[in-house]
Amino acid sequence: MMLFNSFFKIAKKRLPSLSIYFFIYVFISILLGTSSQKNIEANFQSKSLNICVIDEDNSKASAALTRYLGSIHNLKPLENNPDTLQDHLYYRDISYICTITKGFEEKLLSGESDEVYTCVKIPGSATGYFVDLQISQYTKLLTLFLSGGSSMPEAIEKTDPIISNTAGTESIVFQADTDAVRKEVFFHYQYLPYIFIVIFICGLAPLVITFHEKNIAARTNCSSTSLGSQNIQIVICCILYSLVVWLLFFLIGVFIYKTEMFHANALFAMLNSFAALLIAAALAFFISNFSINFNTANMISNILGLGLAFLCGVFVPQDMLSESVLKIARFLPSYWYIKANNMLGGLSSEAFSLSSFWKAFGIQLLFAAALVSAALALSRLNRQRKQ
Amino acid sequence: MNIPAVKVENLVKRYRELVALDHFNLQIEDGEIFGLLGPNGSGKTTTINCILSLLTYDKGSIEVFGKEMHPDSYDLKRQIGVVLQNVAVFDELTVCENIDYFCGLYIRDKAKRKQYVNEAIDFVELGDFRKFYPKKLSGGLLRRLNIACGIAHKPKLIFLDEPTVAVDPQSRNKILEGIQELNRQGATIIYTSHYMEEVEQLCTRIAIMDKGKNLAIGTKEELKQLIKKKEIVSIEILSIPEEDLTAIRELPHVYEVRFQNHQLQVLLNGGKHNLIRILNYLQSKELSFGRVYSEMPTLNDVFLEITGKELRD
Ligand SMILES: Nc1ncnc2c1ncn2[C@@H]1O[C@H](COP(=O)(O)OP(=O)(O)O)[C@@H](O)[C@H]1O
Ligand SMILES: [Mg+2]
Repeated sequence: MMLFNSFFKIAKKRLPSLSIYFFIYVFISILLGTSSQKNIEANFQSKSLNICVIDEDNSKASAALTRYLGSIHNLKPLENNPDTLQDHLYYRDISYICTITKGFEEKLLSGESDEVYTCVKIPGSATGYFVDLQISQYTKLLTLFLSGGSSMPEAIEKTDPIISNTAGTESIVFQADTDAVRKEVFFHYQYLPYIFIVIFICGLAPLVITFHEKNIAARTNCSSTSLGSQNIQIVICCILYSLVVWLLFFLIGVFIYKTEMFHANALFAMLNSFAALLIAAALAFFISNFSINFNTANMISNILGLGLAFLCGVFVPQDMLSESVLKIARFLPSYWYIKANNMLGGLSSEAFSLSSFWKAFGIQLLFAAALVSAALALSRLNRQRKQ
Repeated sequence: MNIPAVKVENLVKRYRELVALDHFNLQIEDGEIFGLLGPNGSGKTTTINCILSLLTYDKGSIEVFGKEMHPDSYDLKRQIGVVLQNVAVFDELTVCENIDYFCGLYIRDKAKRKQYVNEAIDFVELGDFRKFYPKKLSGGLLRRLNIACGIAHKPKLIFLDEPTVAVDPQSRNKILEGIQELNRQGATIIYTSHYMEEVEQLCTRIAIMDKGKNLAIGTKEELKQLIKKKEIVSIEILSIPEEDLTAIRELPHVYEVRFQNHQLQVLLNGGKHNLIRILNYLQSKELSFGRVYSEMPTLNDVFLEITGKELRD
């Protein structure tokens, strides 16, 4: 395990020149953590929303649903005009519009609960989904009692006490699940693609290059340590290096955000960061085929890291990037990382869905696989050229 | 019949159009210090790299200790030590750590390795520089470190490719003495150089190569026997008439006479009492002369006669 030992001996000696990136990162992370503290308090108080209910049905059932929503939220009476409603939504006077369409009660009576109302909410608002849930629960309960043979007034009478008992508790559970995780946790992850690329290209790639340097490699290849054993040792070193870096940043997160790092969405973000880690490692593996020194690696890593960061919305929110930039960004792995992270942290207008998370995650894995294959092909080419 | 340490037959190596080795043959016996002498670009490094399986070759066969050499002949590689032309050490590791690393590629056992590393450090006399990084070593010390990295595992067969390039005379002598010591301890040495003095001083047998061909092989005495020139007499004279030069050319064993810059050079192809005979002639003609030298031919003369060009660059 000679290569293995020396790999980390050399890594240790190069640590000081890398640690600067590390401290910059921790600094940014803490800075963000303190600057957006205000948001969090606002989020915590927003259990009760300003919403607007447009009742086009004017039936007993629609009145009951309106009454129920009014018991939780502030109902704002507004004119039923799409333009004005959009304006109110846009200026955040209201966060949610529920239109109970004509035929609501009839459809419920006939056992249908789909498409009986329409809703519009502020994009990406987690509490908006909570209202969705409340409405659908109410209508589902109503249809349940109706199908059990109750008349409409009876069903409403039975539904009201049940829903008001559960609603309160459920709302707490639901709120704890998303809003208790501060957005900063996701900011912590947001900058990782950049920092990973820098750490891997400046740290890992020059290390591998040191061992592949022409003269050192010649001497190593003359020895009785087989080529296979050499490669395995280097690969193990790279994997360990990656895991240590990954763990380190997770631990920094735990240090700053404590248990929030273990919430469901935060764990998904951690998984997402693993994909970013693989891509950075694959990129370093690819670059290690070129015999560059630390300074060149430094330059490449900054160009690549910053370039990807800007194009893919690490520093500027993706929502604010132009369509043409986004078109290019779609062909870059960091775009998918940020997209997934935004989704998880509610940092963009896109709602979280498991399927689109796995899609983004899978695309990143494909990028990593493609990079590794390209690197392997390149190293084979290099070896042939040397002879 | 002993098995030769290295046997190379009809080796052909091309770099695209350039034929670096052209049906090259070589046989090195166990226990020799074998010198591969040739000018820069003659193919010495290419030969070594082919033998070590660092390069693929187009034709021919290579055997080490009687077994065919392949990139995965790890049992053979275990017995081989290499000091390649370019210094190959890690800048981030100290003298001690570097030797330990390269020794560790052969020797797993930690205690044994520690002992070997210490012996190697003593051998190249780098004891005072154990904790030094390569960047802090002078050219000569760096070369000595490079050598220590190649021989720490006590190989039976050692390749040294121009280990004294850009080395101060003191380090150079240390290195040459060290190589002789390794040979006394039982190692077979293959040494390449374009310095004929070194090769002449060090090697028991020498191959002279040029343009990828092995031109001559033998001990230095055998090589010198190959050529016409056996002795060269130089005499300082202010001036000498043309007819005297012609007369000297007629003396026994003389085959060439030159006169330039007040220096008379007489080239002889053997025989005895040549110097006396020439001096007697000069005295009989009452020609006064200054300093007189008689020299035996050098490997440079051998090279010059075989290839028609100087070995020195
Ligand atoms: N990798 C290479 N590609 C192309 N030509 C090479 C390469 N290595 C060496 N040569 C050529 O092969 C010849 C022999 O080189 P080399 O073995 O290094 O000579 P030496 O070690 O005797 O100085 C030279 O003409 C050199 O230019
Ligand atoms: Mg050479």
